[in-house]
Amino acid sequence: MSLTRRLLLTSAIASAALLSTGLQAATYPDKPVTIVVSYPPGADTDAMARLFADQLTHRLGQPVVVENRPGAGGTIGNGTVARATADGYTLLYTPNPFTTAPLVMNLPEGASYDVLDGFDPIILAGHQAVLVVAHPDTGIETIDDLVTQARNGPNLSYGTPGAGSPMHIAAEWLNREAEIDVLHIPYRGVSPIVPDVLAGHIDLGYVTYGPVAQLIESGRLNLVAITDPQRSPVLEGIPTIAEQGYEAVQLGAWHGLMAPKGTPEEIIETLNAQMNAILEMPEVIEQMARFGAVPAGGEPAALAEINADDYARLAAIIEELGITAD
Amino acid sequence: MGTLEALLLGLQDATQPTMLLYCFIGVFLGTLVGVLPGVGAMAAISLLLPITYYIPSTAALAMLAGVFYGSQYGGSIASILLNIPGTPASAVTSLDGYPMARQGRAGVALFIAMSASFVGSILGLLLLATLGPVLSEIGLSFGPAEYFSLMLLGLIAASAVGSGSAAKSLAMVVLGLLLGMVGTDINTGLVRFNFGMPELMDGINLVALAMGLFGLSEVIASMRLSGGERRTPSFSLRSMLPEWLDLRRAVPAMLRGTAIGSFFGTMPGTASGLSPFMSYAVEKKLAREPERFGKGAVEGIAGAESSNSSGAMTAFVPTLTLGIPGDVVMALMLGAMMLHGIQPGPLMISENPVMFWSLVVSFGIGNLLLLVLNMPLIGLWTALLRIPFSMLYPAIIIFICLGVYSVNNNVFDVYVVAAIGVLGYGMSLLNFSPAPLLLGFVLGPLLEENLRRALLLSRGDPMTFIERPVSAGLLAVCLALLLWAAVSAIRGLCRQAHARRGGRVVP
Repeated sequence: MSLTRRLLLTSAIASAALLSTGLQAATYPDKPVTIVVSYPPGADTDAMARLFADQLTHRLGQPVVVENRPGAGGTIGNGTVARATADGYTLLYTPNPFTTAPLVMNLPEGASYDVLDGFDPIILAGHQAVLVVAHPDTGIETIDDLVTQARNGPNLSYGTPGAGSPMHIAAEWLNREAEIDVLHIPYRGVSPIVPDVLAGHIDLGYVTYGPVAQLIESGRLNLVAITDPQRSPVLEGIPTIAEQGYEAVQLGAWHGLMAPKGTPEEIIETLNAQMNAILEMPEVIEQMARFGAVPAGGEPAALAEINADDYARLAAIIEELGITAD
Repeated sequence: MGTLEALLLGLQDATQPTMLLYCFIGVFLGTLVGVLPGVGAMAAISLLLPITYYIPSTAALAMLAGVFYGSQYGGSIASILLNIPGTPASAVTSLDGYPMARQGRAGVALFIAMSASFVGSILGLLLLATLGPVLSEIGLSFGPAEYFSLMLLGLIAASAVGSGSAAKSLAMVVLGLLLGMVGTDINTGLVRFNFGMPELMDGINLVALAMGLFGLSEVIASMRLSGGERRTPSFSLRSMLPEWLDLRRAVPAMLRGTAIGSFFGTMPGTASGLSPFMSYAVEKKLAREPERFGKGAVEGIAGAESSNSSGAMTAFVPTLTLGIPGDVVMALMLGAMMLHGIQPGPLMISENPVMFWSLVVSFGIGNLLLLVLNMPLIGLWTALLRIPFSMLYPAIIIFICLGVYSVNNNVFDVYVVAAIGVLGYGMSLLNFSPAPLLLGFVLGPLLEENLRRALLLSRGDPMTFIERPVSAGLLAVCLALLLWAAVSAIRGLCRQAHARRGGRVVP
């Protein structure tokens, strides 16, 4: 091999290597993209991630697949993505326990992730209402009813999808603000709470919309309030806890798409633009409404902001309420 | 729209070529994933879910449901032929199915298992279609206290499941309960016995435990024994047909199994794996010669399979009538419904009567397809046994690893299988039966959860278990069973003492 050819070849390889970083973004995606969901298949988060994955597949021209990595309150999947290669081919679709789980759990060294700085946000996909429902026999229709009964009547109990869940935090927060003592009964996820409220074994449930929509419609459960900061467009006329006199209690659920820290900016921009377009599709909005969710969208910074804001607010309240767990 | 009209429309809908095709695909894939050790219906359904966007919603649901109940048929094949059950339910089938296969009666065992599955499914389906809404209200009346008493009954029944000494069975139940303690305590959020491993925060993976205890330990045991020697069972058509005695024993067991399975299926809060154990325990208690159990009793297979399959059908009762999923697979089905724009809940049947009835009809068709599909294939399945060990077992190990990994997409679970496999092999050397361990493991966390929830609700007053009539009734049955066991043990001792003294044996 002549010297010139050798030189040419080396420089070709070198320039190819140099170019590849730039090209990577230009040709993204040129292989399947994985969206990790840190919960089992079938749950709300999984269903919405699959909805977006399907739409992204059409728009990106490459399969976008959902991979479930449940465990340890979602922290196993979240941690896996935090440590994944930041090339835009491994993403995380997560609800807000992303922020709270590391605060309430005693995670071993190396298993956790940096809530504030461990990821590059892509988009705030939406807000999902958290509902307070009551068995009709309790006669509880408003937060006032709830507080009055808790103060005067027999002991009330509420179910949540687990100790340390955002629902648990919200309920304990209300307990403190209203100076009442409603008893916490933890369950494994939202769906096992429903039969127990429905049968009156427990009085109240803090749940998501999907599993109880028809039960509310058919009058078998009372919808008392939502825990979100603002009213939800998909639950017209349903007041928040905050506007019923307990201003401090504001804990809305959100969903976001994130990438490992250091993902090329062009890729983040591509995904953000596609997701923004998807979030405006009428059928997507309709699908999300079934879960009691409304699209958010906007710049990646919106996700970073809500995450940081929740982290600051909730770290303090979790500490004060002494909430620990799964 | 009247029920009859809706039923007819449903019938029309379910017999359309597309519906039939997707139903067939579902049950076929279900059988396949059932046969493969470790690859459960759950993994298959979640893989199929994205594809269902592009097909009509009723067909999609019929297909996904087909995978679920089809896997129950398939699960019995691997557990009977190779002693590698993929779920706790089929672990019970292997207790007597595998000994039958070793006696060269694999064909009969498969025949009984499949007919029992069919009978259980069809009767369960009839219950779903006729009494669905009523059954779901009964299911709701079970609160934490009732569930606790029910689980306790299950645990006492577990001691009947092990073969051999009752003390060894009890020891295994306790070991199962201890293994079930691993993971996060739901009430306080404290993590127990995870030795600093975040993967254990949600406890030991059930599929990994079952695969290790049964599948892997069986492979190790066979490797040690195999010097190439193995009997090749004969495959004449005659050897597949059960004898008259088999049928006379199996048919009543199928009916009892169906009743037990249907009951547990409608309860949204029980472990779906519990009913085969209960049914097995009942058969063993009722049998004239209980010592046949564990050595190839057809009643054991018939009871377990019919309860398992009827439970698979009645599990749709809370799912379709209230929108409450009984287990993880049903939760996945509900997720699929929501993706297809069907809001689960009590209004579903009145809002979508045609969908409900065409699903019911398609379940019936699917079960018929499974019977027709699998009966002629019994010969083919038993031919699996003719594959040399050197090829079969490495393949099994690969499938176990793949299957276990597919549950949580976590390599850690594969290591768990390896560790549990060694434990299981040690247990089999010492004649400890793994089935009671598995039941203890499944029931333990539920027992604890409901005990503590009931006590939380009663503010610490244990009288709640006796004040509630259903719970009190169940506890009375527990007590009666314990007394019965104690009395028969004392009688046995007396009889032995008499015999030693040369006295007349008291009958």
